[in-house]
Amino acid sequence: MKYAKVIDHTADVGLEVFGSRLPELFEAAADGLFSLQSNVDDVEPQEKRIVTVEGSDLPDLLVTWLSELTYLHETEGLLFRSATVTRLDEEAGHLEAEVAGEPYDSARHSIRAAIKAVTYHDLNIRPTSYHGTKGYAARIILDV
Amino acid sequence: MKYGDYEIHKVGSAAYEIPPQGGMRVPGRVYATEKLFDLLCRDNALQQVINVAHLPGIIGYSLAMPDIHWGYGFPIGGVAAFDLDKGVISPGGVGYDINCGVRLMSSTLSREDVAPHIRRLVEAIYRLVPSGVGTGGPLKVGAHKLNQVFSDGARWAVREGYGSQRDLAHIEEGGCIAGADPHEVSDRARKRGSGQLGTLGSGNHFVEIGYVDRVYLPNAAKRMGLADGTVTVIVHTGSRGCGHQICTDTLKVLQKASRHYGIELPDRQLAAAPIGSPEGQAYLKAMRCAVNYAFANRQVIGQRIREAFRETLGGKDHKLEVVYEVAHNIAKIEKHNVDGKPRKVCVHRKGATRAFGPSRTEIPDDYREIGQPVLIPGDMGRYSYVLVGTDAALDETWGSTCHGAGRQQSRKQAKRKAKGRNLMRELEETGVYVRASSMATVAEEMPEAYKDVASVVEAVEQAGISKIVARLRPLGCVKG
Repeated sequence: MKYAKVIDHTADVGLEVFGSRLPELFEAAADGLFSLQSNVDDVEPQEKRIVTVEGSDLPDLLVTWLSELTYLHETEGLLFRSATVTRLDEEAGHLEAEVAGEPYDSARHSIRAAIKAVTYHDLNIRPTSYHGTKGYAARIILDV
Repeated sequence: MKYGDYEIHKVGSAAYEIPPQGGMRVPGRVYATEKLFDLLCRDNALQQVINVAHLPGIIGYSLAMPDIHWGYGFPIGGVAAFDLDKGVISPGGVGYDINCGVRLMSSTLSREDVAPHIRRLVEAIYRLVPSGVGTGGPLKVGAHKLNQVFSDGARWAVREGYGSQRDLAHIEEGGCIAGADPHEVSDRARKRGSGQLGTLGSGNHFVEIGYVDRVYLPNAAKRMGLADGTVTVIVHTGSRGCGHQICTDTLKVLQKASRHYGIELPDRQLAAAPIGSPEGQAYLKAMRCAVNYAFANRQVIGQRIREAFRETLGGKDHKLEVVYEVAHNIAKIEKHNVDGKPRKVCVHRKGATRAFGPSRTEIPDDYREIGQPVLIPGDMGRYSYVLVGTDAALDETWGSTCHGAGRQQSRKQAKRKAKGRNLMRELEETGVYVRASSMATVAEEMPEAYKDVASVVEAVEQAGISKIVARLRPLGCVKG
């Protein structure tokens, strides 16, 4: 189970995300990022990319994961619909995932926000429970 | 008074001090009037001033300008100088948008010349200067040229035919900071940078056509080519995706490096390394590449704006000259007086502008008598200001001053307040024509979302660290 919610922040924007396991948490964070960039329902999963990232700890891994997705969006002009984590090794600080989306098409897509950077600010990956389901939550602040 | 567990004392008419407590190595000092100080206590900015005071090798004070608000690591409006041997360099003290800055251009045109044509002029700029989310521009540079951009900044742009040598004299650092090393820039940052030269970006970046509506210091204004009614252009943008990526790359490296060097961080965004360390030097060299990229970017945009004026108003030479251009997200090695002796220190200015007084040789010869021009953009509805730096700023704030107004509403709050309103019409009714790629951006950037910049510049004048020279009002604006 996973969810992502956009939250308010004075100068920028944030996400509150939850996943019943760590892979779901990372997928939820990606879902939240995608929804900030465009209306995900308009994005077809035509192209797939394998994404591999490393991090010195879990927060660093999460920031690096979202930073990599931001980078792909900006440099390849891709909008994403979904992300599936295929491997997450917390101890080794390693994540592999498959993301699906398509190139930006001005006729069908509108870009909602330009995410400049993913920050470490207040990033607190913590065990919690959501509607009775145990899992992990995190807050991620993004520079727009 | 108290801020949590911290004491705060008022010192002088426009400054407050937080004496060192706990892990603070130096006091905090916030320049603000009473009214502004009350406002700034409402977000986390003061805590961030206190956090910066924890960093090793900090000299004097953890400083904050009157437009201070919450940021990543350092507050926006934060200034701090560090000893070169014992101190650290921290990307959070520069910002993601390295060398975000402001260029001011003057002209021989008056408000009456331009106002009847403002729509066409704004539309021309909108066409010639790409803006908005995810935009690349028509100017794509390959690896070799990108290295030249990183090394030579605005000088590269002039060599490529964008503007002239004359422009460079009125840019901070001559439009090119020494010590950039393109080898320290990652492939990711290069890829983000290669297609974005000559573009504005989005968010709070803009091009604004305006006019001088009030002169406060006639002699200084005359030196800058500013008189009542003079038409001006402000460009506010930075190093685009390239700078953001360099900051992101460095913060990642410094997460581990901070631990390695035993630097205790009250906040991960304050990740830092000793200035002389390999990591510290790598960041300095990469940051300078982004600094130069932003100088080049504004030089290209400035020239495109000249084309827009020629296209709209006819072939006459409107003498669009660079009054001055400043950086407000940067770290520099500068010589300052420390305990009465000149010494090189590393000054971080994040959302703060250099404001050197007349005694400094870095100021262009033609401004030596009046001090360094400082450009303070306000929101798109009200006004912007031109100031000059003072020698008092050199004594108190490492020659630094404010940079803008600062937000007072979140983007979501602003969008909520904008619902059902026709903001473009509201702005037109006040005489400002706005062209934006996104209505959502216009809502997020509406005047009410920002503090009143007049109160910020009044505070720095009261504190003696800058003097107000002129006020500019907007006629038209291009926003991303």
